[in-house]
Amino acid sequence: MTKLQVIERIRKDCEEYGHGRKKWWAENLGIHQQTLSYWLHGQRTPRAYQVQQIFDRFSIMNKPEEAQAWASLLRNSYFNHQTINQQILVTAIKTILSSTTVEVRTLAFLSYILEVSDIEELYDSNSLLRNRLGWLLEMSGKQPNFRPAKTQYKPIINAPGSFSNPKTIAYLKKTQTPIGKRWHIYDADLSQIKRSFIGRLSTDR
Amino acid sequence: MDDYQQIVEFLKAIDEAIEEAVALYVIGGGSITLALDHLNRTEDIDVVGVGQNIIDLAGKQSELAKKYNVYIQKISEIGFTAPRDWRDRAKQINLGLSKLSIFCADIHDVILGKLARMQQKDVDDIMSLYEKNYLDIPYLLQRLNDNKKELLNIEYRNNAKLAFEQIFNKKLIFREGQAKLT
Repeated sequence: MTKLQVIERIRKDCEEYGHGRKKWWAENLGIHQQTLSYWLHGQRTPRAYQVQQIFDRFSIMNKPEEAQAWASLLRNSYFNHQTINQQILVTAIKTILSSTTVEVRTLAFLSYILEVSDIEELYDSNSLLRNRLGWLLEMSGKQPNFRPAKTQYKPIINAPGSFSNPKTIAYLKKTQTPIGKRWHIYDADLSQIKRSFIGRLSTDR
Repeated sequence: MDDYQQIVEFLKAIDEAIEEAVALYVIGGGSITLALDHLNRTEDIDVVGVGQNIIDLAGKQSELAKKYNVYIQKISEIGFTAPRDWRDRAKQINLGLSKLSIFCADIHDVILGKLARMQQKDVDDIMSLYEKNYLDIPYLLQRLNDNKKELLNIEYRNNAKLAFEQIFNKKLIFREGQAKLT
């Protein structure tokens, strides 16, 4: 993706979400809002590492509806004691983790089914999504065959309040687990929710 | 089949299995799923003061739980940190059952219960209910002030502040034992 294409995607995203989105982007990229305005008006261009950062950010910006649809599919299979294809499970996991944030019950459910599945490897070329996959593998008692990429800390859970608010950051740091810290993710403990699941979602190959 | 349908089927199975009338007072995520948001997810149905016969029949180790992947979780009366009169405000849900009566705690009382723990799943629930416009904030404040015993607990007050300030964008202060919005 070129610099111009990246800027165009940000412009479209800001138009779609409306008020406050430029601020959101500036916070996420760790830049001043004015810098973003310069980019959007063609007065300056982002540096190569910033283009990569934006490109990575888009990898975890799926619409929540898409994640919900996949989560519902897995949930229905679980309730109906159905066997699910392993490749479908991998696609579901990657799509759900590509949402900006995910409800903790869904994360616990994914971790629970991954734990009892034969899946040992999950990978993506985008560093933010790859870190999330590594995090999920480790939360599910599996050993990823890649190391955490050095990225900004991003929340995978829903934060109460704006990410720029110090109280929100304090909350996220309080709930973060050591595994989340290693993978540069603001997460929460899943073990208690996982203990509440009783069924088993089996997979085939 | 979604969580709501699954829970309804599970409750119908309990209804068919019992011989005498039983009232279940549901709190927590189960109450949200049954009374308000059918898309809400929950693994267990928290019931206050449920009898051992129901736990034997539909608790975590039961055959019904294995069949439906949902179960009844017993919660003690003091384990639900809502005002004392919460049962009076609970709403009866009509699921076409003959022996089982289902009462769901008022959603504002459910939130007051969640403020005691304020784990991430509680934050998710409160945010979701607020975003879907299910909450009446002045009424929630009134119920918070009815929850006198909990207001003495500093951690509870801090969690209430977190919810009001960070999720509802309302600044909450405590003065003379009362919660007020500024």
